[in-house]
Amino acid sequence: MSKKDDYISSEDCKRVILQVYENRYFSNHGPLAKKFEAELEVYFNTRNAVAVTNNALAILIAIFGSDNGKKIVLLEGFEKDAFDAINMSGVDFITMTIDDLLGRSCKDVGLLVTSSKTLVGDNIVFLDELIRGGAVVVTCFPSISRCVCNNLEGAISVYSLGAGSVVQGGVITTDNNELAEVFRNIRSSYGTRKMLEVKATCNGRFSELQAGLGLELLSKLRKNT
Amino acid sequence: MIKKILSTSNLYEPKVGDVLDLVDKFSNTSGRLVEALAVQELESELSKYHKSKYCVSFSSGFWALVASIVSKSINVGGEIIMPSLTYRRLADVVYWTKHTPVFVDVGLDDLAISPSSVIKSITKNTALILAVHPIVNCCNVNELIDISEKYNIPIIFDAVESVHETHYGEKIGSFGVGEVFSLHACKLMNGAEGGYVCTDDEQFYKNMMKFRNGECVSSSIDLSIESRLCDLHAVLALACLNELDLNVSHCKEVYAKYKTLLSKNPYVRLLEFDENEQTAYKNIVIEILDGSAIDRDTLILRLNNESILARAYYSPPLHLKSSTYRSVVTDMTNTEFLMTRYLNLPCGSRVSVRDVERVCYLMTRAFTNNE
Repeated sequence: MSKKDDYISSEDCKRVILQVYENRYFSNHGPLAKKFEAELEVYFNTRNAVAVTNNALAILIAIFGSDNGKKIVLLEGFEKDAFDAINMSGVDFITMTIDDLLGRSCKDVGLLVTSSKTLVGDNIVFLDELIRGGAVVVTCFPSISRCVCNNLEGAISVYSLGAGSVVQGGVITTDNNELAEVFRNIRSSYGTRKMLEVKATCNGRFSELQAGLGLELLSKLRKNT
Repeated sequence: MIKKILSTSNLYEPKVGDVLDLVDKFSNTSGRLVEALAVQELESELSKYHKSKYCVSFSSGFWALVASIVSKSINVGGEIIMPSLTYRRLADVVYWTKHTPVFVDVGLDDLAISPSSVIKSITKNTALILAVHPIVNCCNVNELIDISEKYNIPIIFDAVESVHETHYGEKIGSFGVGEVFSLHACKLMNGAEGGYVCTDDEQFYKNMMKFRNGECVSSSIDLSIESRLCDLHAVLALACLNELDLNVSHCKEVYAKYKTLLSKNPYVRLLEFDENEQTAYKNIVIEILDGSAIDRDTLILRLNNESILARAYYSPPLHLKSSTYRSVVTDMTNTEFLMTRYLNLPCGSRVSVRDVERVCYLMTRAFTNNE
């Protein structure tokens, strides 16, 4: 993402604060967060966008919610957030290179966690076959800029909104409505559409201030695309 | 006519002009917020406010608790002694730390974790005592710290509802062992979202900084996750900290009105704040007394139907919630006696004295219509 794309100014911050005061909604998942998730769904052309307080927690939720009890593989070349998240999630996993995977049968792989850097050339065909064979693929992207968004159909994607402390957050996208609801419930009871029993919640609530900044960011990205 | 919704959340709104001025204060000449500057100032101000050596902020109180347990517990994967009558997600906090919750009883009078129950639950597997201050007054800090020292078991305090309180005149947050607070909008200090830990323990402080930044805490602890506080959350919290006296003054007025009006209702008892201590007067908790024509849950339903979002006090207790992970349940005699008797009434910055009159009137009507 270029500097121009993610430039959130102090004036942008003030505008967000004024919006929150106007709405008088200071808690989580209010009108701004709803609008942000809806706009992300259009932006990514996906059925569900789940906004989470930071990127590592978004990856944690995606992994924890997708765990189907089968073998979990973390592909080498992963981002640090992905390692921390899979470690925190408590699932048993192994790390492998894409070359290791390409050369063997992957019928026993239930969940594959990878970085967007993997989405090149023949790897895409391979990951596509993996998904069609019933595995879940979670791909982690370093930003929401369209220039890095080369999404894999049927995959779960996690996008970082920013690594700093001004713009912070992560977004999980999926076309699977049931899985999206599991993610929302792991995130917190705030912002859920249906209450589900999940193994544990992790308080990844998204604030209205974060959502306001996210909307500003999205607007700048659209202008620059 | 649309009825005003009254909730149990504080939702304090500091003056918007002051919040915008703080954005300017933490911006550089290029018109951008300087990364983490507001967060650092907030941590510094909170250290002064709580009289603690160190303060570390987090993305939420939840992750401040996870970081505290990970950074301080002994016996990796061992048992965490904690109350059952508490925040509904507290066992989930323990789950992420890879420990096992051991639920212990609370005192009948103070609803706080019982020191004698803590002692009875200590085993060779105990990793940490997670003491939680109840939402009205505090638990017995000195006795619990004595137990921690005597048995050589680390302790931390969940003090998310005790930002302004003192215990025997000492500020909560100043006890040095690790006290965890929340900046969520519903709490006394509204940072929209966030949490922080106060401590005097340098090593504990360093470990939490590492955890928050996603660095390896130590050679024996490989759990950490990025969990820093957002700058705008810090800005809002700083503005709230500056107006804390105004915030508390309003809560005191609301509490005083409840106290006067509820004293005329023979079916309820208000949990009174200990006015010998400094207190925020924020949470309004009542007990439904024996002989009342309606029970706690019926009263809540009737109030909810009037847009008064009264809530059952920590219901159900954690030991009665279904969960897929392991926990240990000890004697719950008091908890099970108390769990159907208490409820939280509307409070906070959006509740006026007139609103309190309405709540109390509707409560009286609910009781008398059933006589």
